Amino acid sequence: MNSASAMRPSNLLPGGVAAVGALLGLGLLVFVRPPTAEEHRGTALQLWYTTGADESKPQAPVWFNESQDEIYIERVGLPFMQIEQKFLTSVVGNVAPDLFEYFGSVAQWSARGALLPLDEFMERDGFDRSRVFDSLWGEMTWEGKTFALPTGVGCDAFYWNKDHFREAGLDPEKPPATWDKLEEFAHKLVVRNEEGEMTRAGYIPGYWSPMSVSGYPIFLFWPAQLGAKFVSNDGRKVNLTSEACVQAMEWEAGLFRRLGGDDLVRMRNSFGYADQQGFISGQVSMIAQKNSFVQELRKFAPELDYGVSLFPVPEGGHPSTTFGPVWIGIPACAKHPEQAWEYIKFYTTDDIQTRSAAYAVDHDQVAFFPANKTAAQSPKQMSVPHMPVFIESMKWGTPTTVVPLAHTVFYREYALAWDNATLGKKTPRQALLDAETEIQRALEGQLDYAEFYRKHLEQETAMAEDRG
Amino acid sequence: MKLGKFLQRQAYDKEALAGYLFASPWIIGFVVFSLVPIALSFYYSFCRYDVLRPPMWVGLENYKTLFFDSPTFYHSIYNTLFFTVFRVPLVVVGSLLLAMLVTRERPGVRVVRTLYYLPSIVSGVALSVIWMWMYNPKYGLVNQLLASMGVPTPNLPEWLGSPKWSKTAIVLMGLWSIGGGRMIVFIAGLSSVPRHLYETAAIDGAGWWAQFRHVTLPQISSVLFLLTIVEIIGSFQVFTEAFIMTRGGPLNSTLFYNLDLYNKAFLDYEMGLASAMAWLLFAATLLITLFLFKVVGGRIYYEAAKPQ
Repeated sequence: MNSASAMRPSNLLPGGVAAVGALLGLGLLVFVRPPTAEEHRGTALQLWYTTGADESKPQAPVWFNESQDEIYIERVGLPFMQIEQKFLTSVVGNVAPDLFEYFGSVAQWSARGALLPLDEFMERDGFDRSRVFDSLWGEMTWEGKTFALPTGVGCDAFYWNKDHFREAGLDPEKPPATWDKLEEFAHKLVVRNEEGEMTRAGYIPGYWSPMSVSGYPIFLFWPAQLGAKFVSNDGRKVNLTSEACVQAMEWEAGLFRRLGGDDLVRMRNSFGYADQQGFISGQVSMIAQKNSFVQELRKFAPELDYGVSLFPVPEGGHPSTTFGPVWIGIPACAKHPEQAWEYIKFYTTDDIQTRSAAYAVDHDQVAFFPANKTAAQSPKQMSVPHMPVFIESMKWGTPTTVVPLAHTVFYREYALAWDNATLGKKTPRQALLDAETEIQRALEGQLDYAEFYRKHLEQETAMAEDRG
Repeated sequence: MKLGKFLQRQAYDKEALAGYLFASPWIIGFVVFSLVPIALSFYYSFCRYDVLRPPMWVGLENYKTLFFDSPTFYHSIYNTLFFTVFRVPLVVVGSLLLAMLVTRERPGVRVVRTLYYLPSIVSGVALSVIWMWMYNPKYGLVNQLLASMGVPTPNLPEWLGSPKWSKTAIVLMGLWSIGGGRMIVFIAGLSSVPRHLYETAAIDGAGWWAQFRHVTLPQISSVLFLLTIVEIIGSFQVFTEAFIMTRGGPLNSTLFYNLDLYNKAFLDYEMGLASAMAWLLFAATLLITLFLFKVVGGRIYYEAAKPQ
């Protein structure tokens, strides 16, 4: 056979069909789920959770699977950077898992109809809400319905380096109790080298970790200490220009300049992650951090002598902290909501929460702070460094989600206002006003959309009733 | 005769069918994953849409918001233009100079070419992380170098931490990539310049600059033009560096157009607004490319088009 006859169309066609068939077959393989390694009986449910740096897996599903034969929970860990978008696409594609454990804003999902309301289940089975820290329920609800149950908490607290306090002649057991004391201590704790370059900062307003060079998390607890509300009671009007907000930012911006301005910028920009973090590396003496910071300190600076307390309070203010819950919910399109609820019920009992906490402590995962009050105060959990302070701070909590419908815009704009104010580009009032305008614009667009969606659902219901 | 034609036609159809069948995986993939989404994004640009809820028609509101109400829109355009204006010449001229150094066959030149090519293998994310350390104001190599040259500590730039220096820092990162694919294309272009032209020019007394100006440059003008256009389009889409290193800060000084678009699409779930931005970027890229073809295209020397 010569090459010309080999290329005749009649010869090409079967080859083409075979090639396409083979490709499609290979493509289909992608959709075939690999068999799970674990043998199981009963209905299989997937639980999606966020994997942390230690890649630990939640243990409650294992205990649940052992406790009965009807339902089998398969654990699927997803990296923090991907979980949100993967969950979003799974909901749109109607292939969402039956259980979703996540953190941050619940309303971001519930307002868009991605989560199932749990009130009926809770009422039917007499779920006792008082088992969980009260302040956490606000974030779980949307338009009067509960869409998730809190399982854990991340709350903020004030950390100080006791060795630095001793060096500076301060009492290592007495953290600053007021804003004025914070400034006074911060000045005393500064160390400079012979060239006058700052090698240690007492406190760097806004510094926490290098999420990126300028993506500073914002410290809402300062204005909250002065009574700031950030948004009207009906959630329709953003208010960042209240006296409390302006006063807190004026204080932060002024403090930033008084403590060194450019020196602080240079130091802050030189810090990295882990043992290069400012506080861990001993280059910052006081810092606002999450409760999970105790885990990092244990890992990267086990010798560091530090204390944890509530934040210093301004004159006439009250204590405050910000917290974000870890929660578990059932996606609206879940195939097995009843079975999923059975697991949630099991998982949120005092017994299992306490067991989970003990398991975490035994495995050196001290970052875990259970939302369940009994578990949080169990002897094992109380052995976590500074646990009483974190529990105390839950009385003064401000949720990190302030404007659920424009959550990301709120954070971005507030952080921008913070940068503008501390770097002296705008007055704190003007910076906050600009942020307020932008967040309000985003919020109004979302309110319109929510209204459109409500009407859309009403229409769908009416049409379904007509057909029925 | 008719039968012959019919059979010919049949064979032709069969061949065409086979061709389409072979191409079908790509065609299906292109239609499903590119063409339909592109068309839908145009529709969504007139809607409010967050993926989870059905799109709500808002007419031209997204475009109006961008042009009249968005504080970041013009800012991100300015940042992107700044980046393009400085990055394109830096990278194109840098690659050309490097290619000129390593085009002529000399002992060991292939090793040198490989060495210059190596940095471009590093992925954008890894590269950004490396440069974050290079730009560290206290411990970074760049400032250490400047300090060793006698720049006093308070005058050392903050690089990524300073609104004044952050864009420049990202532009300068382009130096890293001048040895990559662009250098290879220039080497190919330079190698194809006929030797006799240089010889003739040399006999006429042309020095290296005259040779470069009147022989090399016209001869490689098509390569230069192609790379400039590709680089401009690439610069309009700058994203990774800012996403990894600065998230657009400080003070939005590195908020490039695509990063702003990403924030709106995947943080705020404002897909309608993001789609409108994407279509505006497409229109701008198309217009600028057409403009360049119109203004510069006529002066470009294409060997195949103009036989000697």
